[in-house]
Amino acid sequence: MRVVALLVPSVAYLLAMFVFPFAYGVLLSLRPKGGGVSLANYVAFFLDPWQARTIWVTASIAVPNTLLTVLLALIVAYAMRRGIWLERTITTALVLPIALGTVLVAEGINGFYGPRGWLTQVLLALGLAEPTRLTHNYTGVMLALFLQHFPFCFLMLLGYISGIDPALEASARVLGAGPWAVFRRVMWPLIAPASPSRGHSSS
Amino acid sequence: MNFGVFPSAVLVGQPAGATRTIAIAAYQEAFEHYDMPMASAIAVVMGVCQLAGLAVILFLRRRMAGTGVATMGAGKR
Repeated sequence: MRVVALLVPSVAYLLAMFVFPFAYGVLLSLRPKGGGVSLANYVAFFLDPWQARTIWVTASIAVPNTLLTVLLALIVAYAMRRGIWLERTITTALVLPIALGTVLVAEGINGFYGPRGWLTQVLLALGLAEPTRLTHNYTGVMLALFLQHFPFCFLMLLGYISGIDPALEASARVLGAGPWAVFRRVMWPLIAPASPSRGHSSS
Repeated sequence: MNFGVFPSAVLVGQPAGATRTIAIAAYQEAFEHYDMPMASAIAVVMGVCQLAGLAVILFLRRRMAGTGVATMGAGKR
Protein backbone atom coordinates (compact mmCIF):
# COMPACT_ATOMS: atom_id res chain seq x y z
CA MET A 1 0.00 0.00 0.00
CA ARG A 2 2.81 2.39 0.89
CA VAL A 3 4.54 1.62 -2.42
CA VAL A 4 1.37 2.48 -4.29
CA ALA A 5 1.09 5.74 -2.36
CA LEU A 6 4.64 6.66 -3.38
CA LEU A 7 3.71 6.11 -7.01
CA VAL A 8 0.79 8.54 -6.87
CA PRO A 9 2.68 11.81 -7.55
CA SER A 10 4.54 10.52 -10.58
CA VAL A 11 1.49 8.77 -12.01
CA ALA A 12 -0.62 11.89 -11.47
CA TYR A 13 2.06 14.00 -13.16
CA LEU A 14 2.27 11.62 -16.13
CA LEU A 15 -1.52 11.51 -16.47
CA ALA A 16 -1.88 15.28 -16.33
CA MET A 17 1.17 16.26 -18.39
CA PHE A 18 1.43 13.47 -20.94
CA VAL A 19 -1.45 11.00 -21.14
CA PHE A 20 -4.27 13.55 -21.05
CA PRO A 21 -2.85 16.04 -23.61
CA PHE A 22 -1.78 13.19 -25.88
CA ALA A 23 -5.14 11.43 -25.78
CA TYR A 24 -6.96 14.75 -26.16
CA GLY A 25 -4.88 15.58 -29.26
CA VAL A 26 -5.46 12.19 -30.85
CA LEU A 27 -9.22 12.35 -30.20
CA LEU A 28 -9.36 15.94 -31.44
CA SER A 29 -7.66 14.93 -34.68
CA LEU A 30 -10.45 12.39 -35.29
CA ARG A 31 -13.16 15.03 -35.01
CA PRO A 32 -12.81 17.27 -38.07
CA LYS A 33 -14.21 20.79 -38.22
CA GLY A 34 -17.25 19.66 -40.21
CA GLY A 35 -18.44 17.49 -37.31
CA GLY A 36 -18.70 13.77 -36.77
CA VAL A 37 -15.92 11.28 -36.09
CA SER A 38 -13.80 10.35 -39.09
CA LEU A 39 -10.32 10.16 -40.54
CA ALA A 40 -11.11 13.12 -42.81
CA ASN A 41 -8.19 15.18 -41.47
CA TYR A 42 -5.67 12.46 -42.23
CA VAL A 43 -7.13 11.87 -45.68
CA ALA A 44 -6.99 15.62 -46.39
CA PHE A 45 -3.37 15.79 -45.22
CA PHE A 46 -2.15 12.94 -47.38
CA LEU A 47 -4.21 13.93 -50.45
CA ASP A 48 -2.94 17.52 -50.45
CA PRO A 49 0.57 17.40 -52.00
CA TRP A 50 1.45 20.76 -50.41
CA GLN A 51 0.84 19.21 -46.98
CA ALA A 52 2.01 15.66 -47.60
CA ARG A 53 5.36 16.76 -49.01
CA THR A 54 6.25 18.33 -45.64
CA ILE A 55 7.01 14.79 -44.42
CA TRP A 56 9.58 14.40 -47.17
CA VAL A 57 10.90 17.95 -46.65
CA THR A 58 11.37 17.32 -42.93
CA ALA A 59 13.03 13.94 -43.48
CA SER A 60 15.35 15.42 -46.11
CA ILE A 61 16.54 17.90 -43.49
CA ALA A 62 16.51 15.62 -40.43
CA VAL A 63 18.16 12.48 -41.77
CA PRO A 64 21.22 13.98 -43.56
CA ASN A 65 21.68 16.45 -40.71
CA THR A 66 21.68 13.67 -38.10
CA LEU A 67 24.17 11.60 -40.10
CA LEU A 68 26.44 14.62 -40.64
CA THR A 69 26.32 15.62 -36.97
CA VAL A 70 27.08 12.12 -35.71
CA LEU A 71 29.89 11.68 -38.24
CA LEU A 72 31.63 14.96 -37.41
CA ALA A 73 31.12 14.53 -33.67
CA LEU A 74 32.57 11.03 -33.96
CA ILE A 75 35.66 12.31 -35.79
CA VAL A 76 36.29 15.10 -33.27
CA ALA A 77 35.55 12.92 -30.23
CA TYR A 78 37.75 10.12 -31.56
CA ALA A 79 40.64 12.54 -32.10
CA MET A 80 40.25 13.79 -28.53
CA ARG A 81 39.95 10.37 -26.87
CA ARG A 82 43.38 10.47 -25.17
CA GLY A 83 43.22 14.13 -24.21
CA ILE A 84 44.79 16.88 -26.29
CA TRP A 85 46.49 20.21 -25.74
CA LEU A 86 44.07 22.89 -24.43
CA GLU A 87 41.39 20.22 -24.11
CA ARG A 88 39.23 22.16 -21.65
CA THR A 89 39.26 25.31 -23.78
CA ILE A 90 38.41 23.41 -26.95
CA THR A 91 35.65 21.39 -25.27
CA THR A 92 34.15 24.57 -23.82
CA ALA A 93 34.17 26.25 -27.23
CA LEU A 94 32.55 23.21 -28.85
CA VAL A 95 29.89 22.89 -26.17
CA LEU A 96 29.06 26.61 -25.88
CA PRO A 97 26.10 26.50 -28.34
CA ILE A 98 24.15 24.49 -25.73
CA ALA A 99 23.99 27.65 -23.63
CA LEU A 100 22.53 29.66 -26.49
CA GLY A 101 18.90 29.34 -27.46
CA THR A 102 17.69 28.22 -30.86
CA VAL A 103 16.61 31.72 -31.79
CA LEU A 104 19.93 33.24 -30.74
CA VAL A 105 21.86 30.69 -32.81
CA ALA A 106 19.61 31.43 -35.80
CA GLU A 107 20.19 35.18 -35.42
CA GLY A 108 23.92 34.59 -35.18
CA ILE A 109 23.84 32.57 -38.37
CA ASN A 110 21.94 35.35 -40.11
CA GLY A 111 24.51 37.86 -38.91
CA PHE A 112 27.52 35.80 -39.93
CA TYR A 113 26.47 33.78 -42.97
CA GLY A 114 23.62 36.05 -44.12
CA PRO A 115 23.55 38.01 -47.39
CA ARG A 116 25.04 41.06 -45.61
CA GLY A 117 26.86 39.00 -42.99
CA TRP A 118 30.49 39.08 -41.94
CA LEU A 119 31.55 36.10 -44.02
CA THR A 120 30.14 37.46 -47.27
CA GLN A 121 31.56 40.93 -46.62
CA VAL A 122 35.05 39.61 -45.83
CA LEU A 123 35.04 37.35 -48.89
CA LEU A 124 33.82 40.21 -51.08
CA ALA A 125 36.42 42.63 -49.67
CA LEU A 126 39.17 40.12 -50.41
CA GLY A 127 37.71 39.48 -53.85
CA LEU A 128 37.66 35.75 -53.13
CA ALA A 129 34.12 34.77 -53.89
CA GLU A 130 30.85 35.82 -55.35
CA PRO A 131 28.13 36.26 -52.75
CA THR A 132 26.32 32.94 -52.35
CA ARG A 133 23.14 32.45 -50.40
CA LEU A 134 23.82 30.44 -47.28
CA THR A 135 20.77 31.43 -45.23
CA HIS A 136 17.03 31.40 -45.86
CA ASN A 137 17.36 28.09 -47.62
CA TYR A 138 18.23 24.46 -46.96
CA THR A 139 21.89 25.25 -46.11
CA GLY A 140 20.89 27.73 -43.40
CA VAL A 141 18.69 25.20 -41.61
CA MET A 142 21.40 22.55 -41.85
CA LEU A 143 23.93 24.97 -40.34
CA ALA A 144 21.62 25.97 -37.49
CA LEU A 145 20.65 22.40 -36.61
CA PHE A 146 24.25 21.29 -36.79
CA LEU A 147 25.36 24.03 -34.39
CA GLN A 148 22.63 23.10 -31.91
CA HIS A 149 23.02 19.34 -31.95
CA PHE A 150 26.75 18.91 -32.39
CA PRO A 151 27.56 19.65 -28.70
CA PHE A 152 25.17 16.98 -27.38
CA CYS A 153 26.40 14.42 -29.85
CA PHE A 154 30.04 15.31 -29.21
CA LEU A 155 29.78 15.19 -25.40
CA MET A 156 28.04 11.82 -25.35
CA LEU A 157 30.41 10.25 -27.86
CA LEU A 158 33.45 11.69 -26.07
CA GLY A 159 32.24 10.22 -22.80
CA TYR A 160 31.63 6.89 -24.44
CA ILE A 161 34.90 6.74 -26.39
CA SER A 162 37.12 7.87 -23.52
CA GLY A 163 35.50 5.12 -21.44
CA ILE A 164 36.96 2.42 -23.70
CA ASP A 165 39.95 0.70 -22.14
CA PRO A 166 43.15 2.22 -23.68
CA ALA A 167 44.82 -1.19 -23.30
CA LEU A 168 42.66 -2.52 -26.16
CA GLU A 169 44.06 0.09 -28.54
CA ALA A 170 47.61 -0.43 -27.24
CA SER A 171 47.37 -4.20 -27.74
CA ALA A 172 46.16 -3.72 -31.29
CA ARG A 173 49.08 -1.39 -32.03
CA VAL A 174 51.55 -3.88 -30.55
CA LEU A 175 50.10 -6.57 -32.80
CA GLY A 176 50.85 -4.38 -35.82
CA ALA A 177 47.55 -2.67 -36.57
CA GLY A 178 47.76 0.78 -38.19
CA PRO A 179 45.59 3.72 -37.02
CA TRP A 180 42.84 2.89 -39.51
CA ALA A 181 42.84 -0.81 -38.63
CA VAL A 182 42.65 0.10 -34.93
CA PHE A 183 39.60 2.25 -35.61
CA ARG A 184 37.91 -0.15 -38.00
CA ARG A 185 38.59 -3.46 -36.24
CA VAL A 186 38.87 -2.52 -32.56
CA MET A 187 37.30 0.84 -31.74
CA TRP A 188 34.38 0.95 -34.20
CA PRO A 189 32.79 -2.32 -33.02
CA LEU A 190 32.83 -0.83 -29.53
CA ILE A 191 31.48 2.57 -30.58
CA ALA A 192 28.95 1.36 -33.16
CA PRO A 193 26.17 0.28 -30.79
CA ALA A 194 26.30 3.73 -29.18
CA SER A 195 26.40 5.93 -32.27
CA PRO A 196 22.87 5.38 -33.63
CA SER A 197 21.32 6.20 -30.28
CA ARG A 198 23.54 9.29 -30.04
CA GLY A 199 22.03 10.35 -33.32
CA HIS A 200 18.52 9.89 -32.09
CA SER A 201 18.89 11.49 -28.72
CA SER A 202 19.48 14.84 -30.39
CA SER A 203 15.88 15.00 -31.54
CA MET B 1 16.60 13.05 -35.72
CA ASN B 2 15.46 16.62 -35.96
CA PHE B 3 11.91 15.87 -37.03
CA GLY B 4 10.39 18.55 -34.83
CA VAL B 5 12.50 21.31 -36.35
CA PHE B 6 10.59 24.60 -36.31
CA PRO B 7 12.45 27.76 -35.15
CA SER B 8 15.48 27.16 -37.35
CA ALA B 9 13.32 26.37 -40.36
CA VAL B 10 11.49 29.67 -39.96
CA LEU B 11 14.40 31.96 -39.01
CA VAL B 12 17.22 30.81 -41.27
CA GLY B 13 15.20 28.67 -43.64
CA GLN B 14 12.71 29.28 -46.38
CA PRO B 15 9.43 28.51 -44.64
CA ALA B 16 7.41 29.04 -47.81
CA GLY B 17 9.13 26.32 -49.80
CA ALA B 18 12.38 24.42 -49.39
CA THR B 19 12.23 24.14 -45.62
CA ARG B 20 8.49 24.04 -45.01
CA THR B 21 8.71 21.29 -42.41
CA ILE B 22 5.83 19.34 -40.95
CA ALA B 23 6.00 21.42 -37.77
CA ILE B 24 5.34 24.56 -39.84
CA ALA B 25 2.37 22.88 -41.50
CA ALA B 26 0.93 22.05 -38.07
CA TYR B 27 1.57 25.60 -36.84
CA GLN B 28 -0.21 27.12 -39.85
CA GLU B 29 -3.25 24.91 -39.38
CA ALA B 30 -3.43 25.68 -35.67
CA PHE B 31 -2.67 29.39 -35.50
CA GLU B 32 -3.37 30.72 -38.99
CA HIS B 33 -6.38 28.64 -40.05
CA TYR B 34 -7.56 28.00 -36.45
CA ASP B 35 -8.21 24.36 -37.35
CA MET B 36 -7.09 22.56 -34.21
CA PRO B 37 -8.36 19.11 -35.26
CA MET B 38 -6.32 19.30 -38.49
CA ALA B 39 -3.26 20.50 -36.57
CA SER B 40 -3.65 17.59 -34.14
CA ALA B 41 -3.85 15.19 -37.06
CA ILE B 42 -0.59 16.61 -38.46
CA ALA B 43 1.02 16.30 -35.04
CA VAL B 44 -0.03 12.66 -34.85
CA VAL B 45 1.46 12.05 -38.32
CA MET B 46 4.66 13.72 -37.07
CA GLY B 47 4.75 11.46 -34.01
CA VAL B 48 4.25 8.35 -36.14
CA CYS B 49 7.16 9.44 -38.38
CA GLN B 50 9.37 9.91 -35.34
CA LEU B 51 8.45 6.49 -33.99
CA ALA B 52 9.27 5.00 -37.39
CA GLY B 53 12.69 6.66 -37.25
CA LEU B 54 13.20 5.30 -33.74
CA ALA B 55 12.28 1.79 -34.92
CA VAL B 56 14.86 1.98 -37.74
CA ILE B 57 17.53 3.14 -35.27
CA LEU B 58 16.76 0.42 -32.73
CA PHE B 59 16.92 -2.15 -35.53
CA LEU B 60 20.32 -0.83 -36.71
CA ARG B 61 21.58 -0.75 -33.15
CA ARG B 62 20.61 -4.34 -32.52
CA ARG B 63 22.33 -5.43 -35.73
CA MET B 64 25.50 -3.47 -34.89
CA ALA B 65 25.60 -4.85 -31.36
CA GLY B 66 25.31 -8.33 -32.80
CA THR B 67 28.36 -7.97 -35.06
CA GLY B 68 30.69 -6.66 -32.38
CA VAL B 69 33.48 -9.05 -31.38
CA ALA B 70 34.07 -7.59 -27.91
CA THR B 71 31.14 -5.28 -27.12
CA MET B 72 31.74 -5.31 -23.36
CA GLY B 73 27.97 -5.61 -22.99
CA ALA B 74 27.62 -2.22 -24.66
CA GLY B 75 24.87 -3.48 -26.91
CA LYS B 76 22.68 -4.36 -23.98
CA ARG B 77 22.52 -0.85 -22.60
